[in-house]
This record gives sequence, structure tokens and C-alpha cells, in this order.
Amino acid sequence: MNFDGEKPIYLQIAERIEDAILTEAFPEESQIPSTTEISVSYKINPATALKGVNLLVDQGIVYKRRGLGMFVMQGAKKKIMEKRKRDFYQNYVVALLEEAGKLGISRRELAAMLSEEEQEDE
Amino acid sequence: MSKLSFEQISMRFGEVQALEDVSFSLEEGHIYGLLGRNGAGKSTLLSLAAGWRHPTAGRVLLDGAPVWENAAAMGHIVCTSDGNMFPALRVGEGLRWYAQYRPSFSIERAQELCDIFELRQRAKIISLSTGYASIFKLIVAMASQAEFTFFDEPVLGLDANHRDIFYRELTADFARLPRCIIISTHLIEECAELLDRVVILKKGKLLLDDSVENTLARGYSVSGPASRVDGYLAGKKLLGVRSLGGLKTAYVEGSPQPEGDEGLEFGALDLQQLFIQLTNS
Amino acid sequence: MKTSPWKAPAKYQIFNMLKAMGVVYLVLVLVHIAIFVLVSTLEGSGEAFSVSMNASSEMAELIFSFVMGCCMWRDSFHLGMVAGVPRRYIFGANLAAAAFMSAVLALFGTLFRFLTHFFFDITSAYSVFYGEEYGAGVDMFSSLPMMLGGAAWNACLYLALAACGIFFGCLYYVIPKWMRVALSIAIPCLLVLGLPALAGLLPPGSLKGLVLVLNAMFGTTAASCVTCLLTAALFALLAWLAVRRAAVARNPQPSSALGTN
Repeated sequence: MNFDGEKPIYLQIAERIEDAILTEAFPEESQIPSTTEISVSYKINPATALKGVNLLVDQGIVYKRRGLGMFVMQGAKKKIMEKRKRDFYQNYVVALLEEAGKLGISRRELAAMLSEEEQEDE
Repeated sequence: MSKLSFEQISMRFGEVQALEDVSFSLEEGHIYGLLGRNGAGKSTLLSLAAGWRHPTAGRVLLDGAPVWENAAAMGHIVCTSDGNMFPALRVGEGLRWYAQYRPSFSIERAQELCDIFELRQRAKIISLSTGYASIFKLIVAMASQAEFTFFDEPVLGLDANHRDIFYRELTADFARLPRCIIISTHLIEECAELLDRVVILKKGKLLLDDSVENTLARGYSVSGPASRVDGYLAGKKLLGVRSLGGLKTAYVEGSPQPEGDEGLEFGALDLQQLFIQLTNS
Repeated sequence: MKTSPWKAPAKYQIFNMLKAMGVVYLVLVLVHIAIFVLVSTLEGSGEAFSVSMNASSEMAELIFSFVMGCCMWRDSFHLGMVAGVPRRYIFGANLAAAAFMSAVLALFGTLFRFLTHFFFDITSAYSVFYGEEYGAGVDMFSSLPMMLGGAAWNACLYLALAACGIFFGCLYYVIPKWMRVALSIAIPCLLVLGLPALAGLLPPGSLKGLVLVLNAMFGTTAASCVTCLLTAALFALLAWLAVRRAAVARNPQPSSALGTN
């Protein structure tokens, strides 16, 4: 698996698990792979895998069932979507405006692009 | 947690000073990368750790006790063999005799690995190809289940599939039974994500002994128009440069300081890039 | 930690040496049978033959002891090092194996000579040197004490040779290649040419003294055994001094061409 060189690996692991929860590859109340399975699958240090999973535990997205493993929390999907909506502005909109600024694309041109895209969808 | 310490280790071969005043320690529960250019002293260090040779100066200690000729300590240390250190036996026979010598060795795990790597137990050890000779050595080291497991160029001659299998089996073993794993390798990119600590040797001296996280934070890259980059570099410690026409990429020590500079792109270094920059003379 | 880390190395050494010994004796048996058959066929033609097979099996055992000792160090050391067994246990295991094999060789050899003396004219070296100790004209193979004495003497002799072999095996492991070549030439030269020359140079009186010393060392069975055991101990000590700090000799391998270090 290729990792983005910029972001810490444990964050990327957390994000991939979140993606899987969003697409319901990991449905709520189902078990997610163990840190061992994750580390073997991605060939990363088990401590890194653990760090990523613990991050999700802290955010209330997964929880531990003693003796069984890690499970997706009830309402995790909603939580992830809300979190990402909050981050959407920073991660995408700001970057979009910055790049548009570099290329000299005005706000009006941007708006036109958006409505053009919308029309193509229909 | 056990600790294997190198105290002011020096090793001299005639006129050649292979290692000079190297001091650091290794702890259980971590995967170390032992990195260094050819001739940096990595293999020498490994043979000293295993008690295969006596240092010219300094000591190797396991929890305070010298490793040299110490059966108890040596039982907790295993290193992939240099060359072919097994007598003229077949793979299966070699494993069975080895099991009698080393109490912690799991012959079931060794046989399981032989199946996974498709190494025939009836094959003669001396007539194994380079790749399969490496596979045999790493199977022996992995199945030895020693607290301090050293791999000296474990994937030498292994095809991509076998390399992949090795890293996965190693990770699984480590997760199942945490120990101290030390991988001495030139193929840094391949296992960079597995390592959590790194030790770098340069010309026989210890250059660095730190976590991978801290090590990666040591440097960064800055790219852009050559003049802008040069301007930025003032007062900063330069590790290396690369130019392509008017576009310049500089590798700098420390943390990036954007200062609102336009037209400059900052990036992180990966372990291999950083290693190259730190060890270029 | 394991209570006896030398057991496995000793077992391994004995296992291999017994195999080699088996091959040597197989050859000896076949040679004896072949000669016996040949002689029987020739005798049928009317001529009477008496075949003396003196010294054949004993010579084989002497050479085997020395060569066995030479071969003991290298492989056992390498396997021991990978397996985490210290040098002193490997060395000790080798000595124990040498002692065991010496006894086995001596006992088996005595038995072999006893069995074959029914078919051949066999005179053992022991009966030649020490026969008088048991009374004049006593036949070795009809006197159990004499056979046991012979076996004991053989065992001590073989152990001394094995220890000598161990010393050379260990020495050769730790010295550089040029020294190995030099010694391999110098030592046989010394023995073959040097000793007789030395004997010629000695003043006449000292020869008598030399004979006295040799008599003291080898005159009786007991003295001979003690001398052999002391010699074995001396060679063992010298061998240990050679390898107590031995570094694993790097084996050239294709990968070393890549300059890995």
C-alpha cells in the first residue's frame, strides 16, 4: 500500500478505517481488523497501527470489547461525516481558493464551473 | 524490559578501524533499522552483538552482564548467519539439530515458514541458491524466538514476492511475541514503515540513534526558483541540493520556516532520502 | 538456561564420527573378506599361505583418530555460534566426543582383531610391546586381561592422537592462510628429515639418556597410558588457547561480492 509521504502513517490508517465505515464496508457494531492484521496487511509497525486505532477510540468512533476486539460504535458514521464536514472547509475550500488564486480564476468563474458541473450531472 | 547495550565499542582489523567508540542500547518491543553505507561497520557490529567476535575495546552487555562467552545471554540473542554456518546437512536435518542446540527455537514455526516460502526440507543447505540461502537463514533467526533478533541483509537475493512475505511474517511474529528486532539493510524504502527506531553508522562511528519520528523531523525539503531557494537558505544548515535548470530543491536540517515565502514548496523527507543526505560525505 | 549446553554439540559430533567410523570399518571388513577369498582360492591350488594382516586395522584407527580430531572444530564452532552456544562448551563437547570415540575405536578394534584372528595371522602392536607383562608366550587373544589392557592402551593412544588432531584443527582455524600453507610443508619436513638429522647430531651419551626417558614414558602399560593422557591434556590446552577468542571466520559467499558490510 502506498502511503502519502506528508501525513503521519497513523493518521492515514485512522482515515482509511473511517472511509471504510463511511462506505459501510465496516458496518456499525461490526468488528474491525485487529492491530496485528492491520500491521501485517500494510507492513507497518504494530505500534503505529495501534496509535491510529487509539485515535479513533478517543474520537468515539470505535470501542473495545474485552476479549473480542475492536468494534464500530453506534452512530460512528454520523460522527465521521460531521467531523469531515467541519474539516471540509479547511481541507478543500481553502485549498481550492488558493489554487484558483494562483491560476487567476475569479470567484465568478468558479461559480460558473460549479453550475456547469451541476448541469452535467443532470 | 531487557536491554542490550554497546559500551564504547571499538573494533580494529589490522590497519582498518571498523568501529570507533560506538555506544548505544537496544530495547525489547521495538523494531530497529541499522543503517549505514557499505563498509560503515554494520556487520561487524552485529557479529559483536552475537558474541561471534571480541571487540578490540568496549563491551557488549545484556542487562548489565557481558555477552561474551555467556551462555545465558547468548541464548537470548540470535543473528542471521554470515555466509553458510550450517554444516553439510539437509534443511530439515539442520533445523532438527539446531533445535537441540537452542531451547527457545520453535521447530513448528520453522517448518511452517519453510512451507510458506516453499523451501523444501529435503534440499541440501550448501546447494541452496542465494535467495533460498537467505530464506533459510531468516527462517532460523525468526523461529529462534530470541529476545534480540538481528537480521543482516535478510532480503538479499529474495524476489519481490518473498520479500513481501518476509515483512508480513516478521510483523505477525513481532505482534504475536514482541521482541527486539534489528534489521540491517540497504533497502530502506521497503521497510521504513516497519521501523520505529533507527541507528545510523557512518564510517565506523555512531551518527544517530533515535526514533523514526524524531529522525524524520530532522530535515525537510524546500523547492522553488533557484534564487528564492538560495535566499531562503541563508543561515540554515544545508544537507544537500538538487538542481534542474532554474528549479532547485534543497534538503535542509531543522524544521521548515515558511515566513510567508511565496513560490517555495516545503516537503517532508522520507527515511531513505534523509539517510542519503546525512551519509553523503 | 539449559543445564547442559554441551550435550547437543557432543551428540552431533559423536553421531557424525560414528558414521565415519562405520564407513572405515566397512572398508576394512570388505578388504579382509576379499583377501581371505583370494587366499582361499589360491590355497585350493595346492600352495599353503599364511596371510598376516598385522597393523591394518590398528593403522586405520590411528589415522582415523588424528583426522577425526582435525575435523572437529570448524563446523561445530560455526553451528554453535549461530545457535548461541559459547566456545568453551563447543570445545568441551568436542573433547568429550573425542574421548568417547577413542574408547569406542579401541573396544571395537580389539573385538574386530579378535574375530579376524581366526582367519588371519594377527599380531597386535600391544602384544609386541607389552606382551611380557602378562607372562612369556601368552597369546593375546586367549587372555582377557591382555585384551582389556590392549584396549585401554589403544584408547589412550587414540585420545592422544585425537587431541593432537584437535590442536591442529583449531590452530589452522585461527591462523592466516599463508601460515597454514607454511606449516603444512614445514611440519612433515621436520618429522621426515629433521628428526633423523637431529638423531645423528646427538652426542653418543645422550642417546642412552634418551632411551631411559622413553622407557620411563612408555616402558609399561600404565606408564604409556599416563603419558598418552598427559599428551592429550597438553594438546587440548594448547588447542583451547588457540580458540578461546576465536572469531567466526567469514565464509566467502556470492553475496559478499556486493560488498555488504
